[in-house]
Amino acid sequence: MRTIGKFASLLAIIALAGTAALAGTWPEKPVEIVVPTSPGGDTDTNCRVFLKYLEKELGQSMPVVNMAGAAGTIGLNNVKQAKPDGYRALFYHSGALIAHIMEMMDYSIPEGFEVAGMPVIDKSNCFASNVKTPYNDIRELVAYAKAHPGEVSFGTESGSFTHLHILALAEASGADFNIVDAGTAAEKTTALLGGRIDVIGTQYALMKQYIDKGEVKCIGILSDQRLAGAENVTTFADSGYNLVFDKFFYMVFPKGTPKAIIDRFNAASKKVAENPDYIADCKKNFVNASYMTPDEAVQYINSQITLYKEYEKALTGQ
Amino acid sequence: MSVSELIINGFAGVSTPFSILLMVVGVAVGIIFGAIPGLSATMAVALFLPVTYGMNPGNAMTLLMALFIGGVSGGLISAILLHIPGTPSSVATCFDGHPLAAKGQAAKALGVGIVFSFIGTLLSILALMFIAPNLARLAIRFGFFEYFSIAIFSLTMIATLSGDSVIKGVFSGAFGFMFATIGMAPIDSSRRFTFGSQELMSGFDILPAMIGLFAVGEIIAAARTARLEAAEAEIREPDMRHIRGFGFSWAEFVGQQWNMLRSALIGIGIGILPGIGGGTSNILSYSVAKNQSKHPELFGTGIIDGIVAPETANNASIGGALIPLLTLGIPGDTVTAMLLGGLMIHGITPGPMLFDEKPELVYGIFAALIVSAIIMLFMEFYGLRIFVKLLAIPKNILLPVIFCLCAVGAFGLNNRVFDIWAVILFGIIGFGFNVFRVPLPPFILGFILGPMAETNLRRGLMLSKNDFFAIFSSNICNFFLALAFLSLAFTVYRQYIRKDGASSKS
Repeated sequence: MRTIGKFASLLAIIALAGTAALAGTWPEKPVEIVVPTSPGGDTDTNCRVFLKYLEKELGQSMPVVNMAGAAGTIGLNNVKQAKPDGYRALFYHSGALIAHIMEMMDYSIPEGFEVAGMPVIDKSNCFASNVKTPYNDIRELVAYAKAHPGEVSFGTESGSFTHLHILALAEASGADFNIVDAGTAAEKTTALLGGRIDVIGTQYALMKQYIDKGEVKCIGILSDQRLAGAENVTTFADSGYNLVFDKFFYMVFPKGTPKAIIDRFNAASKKVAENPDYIADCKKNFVNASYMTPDEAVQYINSQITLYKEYEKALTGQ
Repeated sequence: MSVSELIINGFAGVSTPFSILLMVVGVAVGIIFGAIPGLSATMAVALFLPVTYGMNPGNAMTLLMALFIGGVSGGLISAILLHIPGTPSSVATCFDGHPLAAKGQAAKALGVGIVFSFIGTLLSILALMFIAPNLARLAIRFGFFEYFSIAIFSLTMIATLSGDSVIKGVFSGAFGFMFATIGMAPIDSSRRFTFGSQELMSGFDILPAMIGLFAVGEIIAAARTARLEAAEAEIREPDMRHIRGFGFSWAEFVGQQWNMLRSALIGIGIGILPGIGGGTSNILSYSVAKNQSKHPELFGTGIIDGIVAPETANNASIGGALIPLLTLGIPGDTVTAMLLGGLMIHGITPGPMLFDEKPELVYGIFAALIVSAIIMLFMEFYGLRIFVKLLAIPKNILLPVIFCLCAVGAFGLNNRVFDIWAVILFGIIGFGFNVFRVPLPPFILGFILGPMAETNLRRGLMLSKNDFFAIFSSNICNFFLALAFLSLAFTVYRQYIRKDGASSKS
């Protein structure tokens, strides 16, 4: 019995020493970053831009592993079950929290994961309408929708971030919109350009070229300030609805990943966020480079969950 | 700059040694990815996407276009020689390509496939160059109900693909439809048939389903007959000494003119519509060719009509898919979505402004497509003599290797071991179908079109506030629903005639 005990404690010491060594020299090999979407979208692009700079700070390559499916569940599940050795992490956005509220996803952030950073915040969430529609800002949209109840069709993807936005506006204004599932960002844009849907929830960068061409207009930004590069577009608050929804992109490691690794990662992400080249690259995509400590990030995420839960009833349709 | 100057500049841009090297490598890798069951054009592009980040946008697009073209075309090689489609785009190529190869005319089958792949690509690039903006405007007028109508029309093709028993065909199609419902439902995300499994929540992807049904099913079937004498003589050694050029005559080429043109139009048309691509267009084009043929009974026995139709159509879908991408910034499938990502990382957003702001890039892409298509033609022409040697490899060595590649491909799809299990499951289903002589193509059609019909019907009903009759207010819908009705009526009529003929004989 005693030998077994000794053996066990010896093992424990080796394991502890192992973790310490692991953290001390981490990363010694490439760190795989799981992105639970297909390549090509904003999550994938934002992640790759961030990693391009982070790789230089950490001195290891960080390959992206795309694992799309089931509103992000497949990717989240993979990272949750990965070994907490710091060599597999997840890059994802606010959508996961809404999916959890809607019971589409079994997991939630931050529980069950170690939050390591918040490298990107997208403050360009907006409503865009076909240029032929008679309203030019949110106040006019609401007035029109009240005069024509249920006639304004709004394109979103059920259970997505933009679904939350229209529910929030409907609740705040009392107007009645015809909320239609129009699919992914590309499908929504197609429906808007084809004149089949009046208004869609989207991001400014995706609309910019259609706005320049005069086919689409942006009628409201869902942030606390106007968007740099598109200062003529009013915010929801300018129209009297104080709705602020910023899409945020976080990085998490599996639960139990040594704190030293999280700290090392977070310190590197701070350096990236201060890099003028990274800031400029983000600006090109109309998103903001950001930095938060793990504690700040957890607090921020929790505050957003509280905000989303205000619309839980409308989201779940109960 | 005038259009002709832009075209000349485009070609000048891609004739640098480095660009040509990129295209040669791209086409070669694409063909290999296309030819190996389980690896697809999508994966080739995904794999090389990060490589292009360090290049300039012109070179990056040149490489990606070459991969795309090679990848879509390469699938015909394994479809014809092994009866295993290399990619979802070449499922229908098996139907007549393999029987022709089995007659000892493998080189002719490949030659036809290669030449018409090239022509399909070329025609669609011409459409892309000259009428893209108009076509794109037309494509975005297709709404939810319109997609639903197209899906319904395409589903009637199950009858054409059913072989001798329509009942077995409908069973197979319904089975495919059923498998596609597994996972999270569209729109409301309710879980269907997931049995509490996380992995089943995302449902089955088309790739594991296809390689399982066709490749693994075929491998199991081969293993079953391995010890029978008959299996030895299944494919006759192709006679290569008397093969000249592409192995078919000028008269045969001329005879396919109308088939080629119609298939190219179907390919481009399907390609333009976001969300439907080469996977659907090759089967659809084959079915239409069979329906319109004077000798439909010869389809499936190894006639070149049955190779021309799918191979022209699937490559024509390339240009088709690029039309909404380049003119509107809308990706229609996974490959174009990745091309979009590849452009965006260079700070270029495709869309209505691209032709005005960066015409040199657009025409560079056109030139790269044309030159890649020519490289593909030459590479496969000279490769033809090597490809047929595949048949000389003993099956007990070749098939296990293919099985491994299928597993690798399935894993590479989404980095999940689950997809390998899916391949094996579909392999067993495919083998079962084989034993009971149930046709596989309707399964694939139901699998692809089922979710398309469901999602678009439900979205359309949301938009029309549950007014089902709103569907008839669209002329496009009426057109396709009428086509669907005619197609069904025609099938019933033909069955009736055949039965009548059979009973009068007896």
